[in-house]
Amino acid sequence: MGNRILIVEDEVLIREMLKEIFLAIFPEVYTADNGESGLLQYNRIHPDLVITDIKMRKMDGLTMIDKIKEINETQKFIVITAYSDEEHQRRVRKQGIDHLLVKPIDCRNLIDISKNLLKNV
Amino acid sequence: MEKHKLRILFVEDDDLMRETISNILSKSADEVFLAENGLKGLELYKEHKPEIVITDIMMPEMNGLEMIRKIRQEGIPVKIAVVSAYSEKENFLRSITLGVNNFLIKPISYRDLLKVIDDFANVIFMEKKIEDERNQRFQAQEELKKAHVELESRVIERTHELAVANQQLREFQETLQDKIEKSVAEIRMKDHIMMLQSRQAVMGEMIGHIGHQWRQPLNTIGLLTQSMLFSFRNNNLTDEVFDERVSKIMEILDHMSVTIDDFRDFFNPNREKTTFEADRIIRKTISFVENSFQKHKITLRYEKEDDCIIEGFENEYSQVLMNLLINAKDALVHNRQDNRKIAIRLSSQLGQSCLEVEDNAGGIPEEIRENIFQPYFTTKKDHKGTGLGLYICRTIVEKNMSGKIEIRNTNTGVIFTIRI
Ligand SMILES: Nc1ncnc2c1ncn2[C@@H]1O[C@H](COP(=O)(O)OP(=O)(O)OP(=O)(O)O)[C@@H](O)[C@H]1O
Ligand SMILES: [Mg+2]
Repeated sequence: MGNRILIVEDEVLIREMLKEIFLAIFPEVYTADNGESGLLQYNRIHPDLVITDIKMRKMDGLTMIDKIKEINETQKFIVITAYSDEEHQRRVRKQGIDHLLVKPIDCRNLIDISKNLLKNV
Repeated sequence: MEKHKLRILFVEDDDLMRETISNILSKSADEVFLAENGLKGLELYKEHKPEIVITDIMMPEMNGLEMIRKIRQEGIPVKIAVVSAYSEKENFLRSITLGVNNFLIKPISYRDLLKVIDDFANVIFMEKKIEDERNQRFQAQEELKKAHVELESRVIERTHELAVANQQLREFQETLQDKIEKSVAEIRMKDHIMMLQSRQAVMGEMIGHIGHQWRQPLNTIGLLTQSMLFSFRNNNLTDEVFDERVSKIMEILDHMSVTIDDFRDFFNPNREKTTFEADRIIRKTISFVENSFQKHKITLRYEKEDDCIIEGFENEYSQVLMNLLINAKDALVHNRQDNRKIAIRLSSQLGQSCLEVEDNAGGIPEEIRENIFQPYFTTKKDHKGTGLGLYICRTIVEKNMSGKIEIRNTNTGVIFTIRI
């Protein structure tokens, strides 16, 4: 599988863990620590899948997604959120996001979903 | 003056004399009874009980004196006059002992007779009058006595009634006292329940806070654990990596238990007054709501101008601020799309701590200004508010901590001020 994955997460420990876990399965894993640098990275590497947190400094996940969608309407996203309430999830889904995972996340689940999304690429 | 009936019994054995005198008598008397001897006279007397008896003495069958004795035995103070001649001296004496009232000397003159009758009539009249008066007095006395007795019995009755009334009053007072105590207890209970209800509302916010606060570290722990599994599967889980991850996890767990302590402290009903630094409690309270405020894009600013030491219940102080912050948040979310702001200021004024919470959510309409501190008053629909928040705030600030809570609208919102 030669699929590229971009992980955008502002907390360093989590970012590193995710990278480590994903690298065990997917060869090309890139990271960014907020929405702004995520967008820069996106334009550089054109990943097949973007996994992002929502709440981040500088630019939050949802704003970044909007900007990426302007570039590539069919871009695949997995969003990880700390908010578990319905209203918030509804709002996120309205933005046309394929998958919403609520923290704490199960990596097996995350990997399965990622594999599924990348199958169709 | 009431005219009294005057009836005369005349007893005389001489027929001519009886007839003559009878004619004279009937002019003064209402009625005249005539008898020719003592026996007949006594009969008539018993039958009619006349007021006056005039009698001759020497008569056949029963003489006058014998008749008088018998009449006197009847016990009636009838007026009796005796007709006698001068020569019959012993008759006068006997008459006196028999209680005869007057004498007529033979031959009877017309004038003497009228005088005797007139005198008798007067005496009878006077006696009657005296008797009447005595009767009246007696009656009055009787009535007085009766009234007195009645009064006494009424007094007794009234005393009894009064005692009953008194007893009732006492019972009433006792039940009133009971009722007062009961309702005071009820009010206290109600206050207590309201306090708990309001705390529950705040607790919702706190649980949200903990949930959020914990999601991040739980996520990290999850990832750390799973990364160990992946490393293990790939055969690169070294001792160092393992050690490092486990100590990371323990560090995070320590941090999480602090949140639990905060939460437990907040709901610990510690009823002891302490002195505390307002700043510390304010910061802690802000930390509880920060996340949910960020989520709603509310900018929360806190400025501390002076250090303030407050004597009282720090949890309650925190609860008050929490209520005000949640109210401001609710109003902002409801009324504003963007630029949602809350500012908290702590200063010292005239030796009192002064905590201000200001928002730009549009303020409180004049017509409900009076109501917002009432228990169960809320404008929030669908049971989203209990309406107890501000009531509890006022209770805590003004009753429990002898402070003052004030509210004032600004151009853009409202400022709540708490002075303690
Ligand atoms: N900052 C504010 N801006 C505008 N209105 C307010 C503000 N604070 C309170 N109110 C009004 O006062 C009412 C009463 O507030 P209170 O805190 O007592 O109850 P509540 O907030 O409705 O219910 P609860 O506190 O139980 O959630 C609110 O329903 C609201 O209409
Ligand atoms: Mg309230």
